[in-house]
Amino acid sequence: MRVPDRRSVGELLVDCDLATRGMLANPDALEAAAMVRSWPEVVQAAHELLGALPTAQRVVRPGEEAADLVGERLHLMATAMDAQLRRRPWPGPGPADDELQNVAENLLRAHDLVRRYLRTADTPAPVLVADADAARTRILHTLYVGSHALTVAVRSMSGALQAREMKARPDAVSARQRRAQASALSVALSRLDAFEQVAGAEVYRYFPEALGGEHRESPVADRLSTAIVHWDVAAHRAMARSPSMATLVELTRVQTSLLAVTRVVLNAASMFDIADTHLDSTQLEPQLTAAESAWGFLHSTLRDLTANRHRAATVQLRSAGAELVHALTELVLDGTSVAEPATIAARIDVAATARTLAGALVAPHHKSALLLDAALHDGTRVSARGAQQLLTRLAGVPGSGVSASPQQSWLDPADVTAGRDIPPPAPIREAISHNIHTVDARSSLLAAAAIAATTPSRRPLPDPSHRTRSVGPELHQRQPALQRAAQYSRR
Amino acid sequence: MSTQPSTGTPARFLVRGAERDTVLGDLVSALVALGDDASRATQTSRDVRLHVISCHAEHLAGEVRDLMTDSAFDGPFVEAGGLVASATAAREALEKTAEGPLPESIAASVRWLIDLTEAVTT
Repeated sequence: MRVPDRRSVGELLVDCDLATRGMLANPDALEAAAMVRSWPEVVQAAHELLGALPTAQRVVRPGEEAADLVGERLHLMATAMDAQLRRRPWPGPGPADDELQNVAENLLRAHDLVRRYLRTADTPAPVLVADADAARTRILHTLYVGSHALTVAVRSMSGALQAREMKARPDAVSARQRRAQASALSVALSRLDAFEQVAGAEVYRYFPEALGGEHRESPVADRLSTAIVHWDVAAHRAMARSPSMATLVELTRVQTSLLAVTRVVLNAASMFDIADTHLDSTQLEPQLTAAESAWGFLHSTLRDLTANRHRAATVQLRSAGAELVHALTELVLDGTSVAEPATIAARIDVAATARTLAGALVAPHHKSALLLDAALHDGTRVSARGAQQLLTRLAGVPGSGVSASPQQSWLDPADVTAGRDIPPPAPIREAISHNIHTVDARSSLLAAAAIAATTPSRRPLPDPSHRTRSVGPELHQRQPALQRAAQYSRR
Repeated sequence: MSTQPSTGTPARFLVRGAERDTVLGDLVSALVALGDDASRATQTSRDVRLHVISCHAEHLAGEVRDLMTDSAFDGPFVEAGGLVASATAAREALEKTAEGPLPESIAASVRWLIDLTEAVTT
């Protein structure tokens, strides 16, 4: 059964771009003849797609022919090369290049989608124009990189032919064939060089800036809230069913990240004054920072105590954590940069997202209460090397119970040397316990602040000077109660 | 005396499996080290990308670990060397998997993670 192609225009173009880049990753595998046969079809498809894209000046309506001048020029160059090579023995008939055929099919599919679904308007919206400019740049980049891959393949074949020529016996027939092939390769090379230069000059006028206008799907509205709920359930289950160091490391790592991203989103909300009266983010900021720090410190302790081989959390916990982190990443990153508050605000409903995240701040308090049992479970084992490092650090801390030579009194050197896992020594248990109590306290304060910040504020009491006097003058009299009582008795 | 395994599995496949685990184990170790270094860096920086690196690195390490035939394989112990060094080590470990069966989706995610780390450190 044929699976329907559900890729968007943007996805199809990214695939084209990646496919041509991928060719350059393995130049030895390139088949020059097959690529030269397929190239005109790729350029033809790209030309048609370029002609279908709207610009700031025009919208292309169905049935109209529009010219993208650079696309037209490249198309003519590719057609001319094809016409010249058809009269020569190379590349001749033969198989097409699968990768370039896929690129051509993707471009044709993108063209069909644009022609079918593009809404026509006399003045295209700026967002539409920016997206079309990004698509144009992506198409030209595909042609530019593709032509370069083709040049690499043809040059490689030309070099190989020259090497054979040096070794070949003087045979009139084969020599004539080799000369004809070399001539065809030379024609192809000169045409491809020119093509690459024209395409490259146009690409680097706009690349990569124009890609900034590429349309991005907004994050799915309830992805974050669903991910938070799944994470919460998975974390509770993991602590109840498999209370290992792997569980604790994963839990504290993701929890710290959740708090950090919440800080960024609330910051964006407050900068744009989007946080409405039901969410006062200024109340949350100090508690959020304190809780993030406490969770981060606990995570660092647990992380350093857990060896590589004991990091494997359950698949359920890891999947829930990964999905939550993906949902958070989608909010706050823009490529490899931190998204500007304006970008975050444009991308999502910041007020709703901030409320979702603030609502989730109550959960860490519940989790922290379960941490202690999980951390100090009988089966808990820590890395002897990690324990040694922590004990060394604790030796300088007054009241930690660690003497100046910690490894001698608390650890077997053989365990450290062999990198074994051991039950946590008493000072380590004490340190973990202390960290968890700190997390618990900070999470408790954060939960209280989150509840206060997300609860609609009560209606303010009216100013006493404006109160009605209908309650009776007696209640406002300043006389002592006994005198008032005497007044009543005299009436 | 024959050194062939008694299971009947040709030795070359066993070797290939062990080599594959070694390559993947190196990548797991490099990703764990990258995640840990990013996590350490969060204690002195408020750059939220460090949290993203820390979490994704650990999750990707888990996914690669799932591909190994011997899941108890520990991989080499990697000392904390800082984000730049751990990103370089992760890239080298990833390159070694080019000949092995690392799914492209995971390889692409690791590449993005390394790019993100390099963006943070430059």
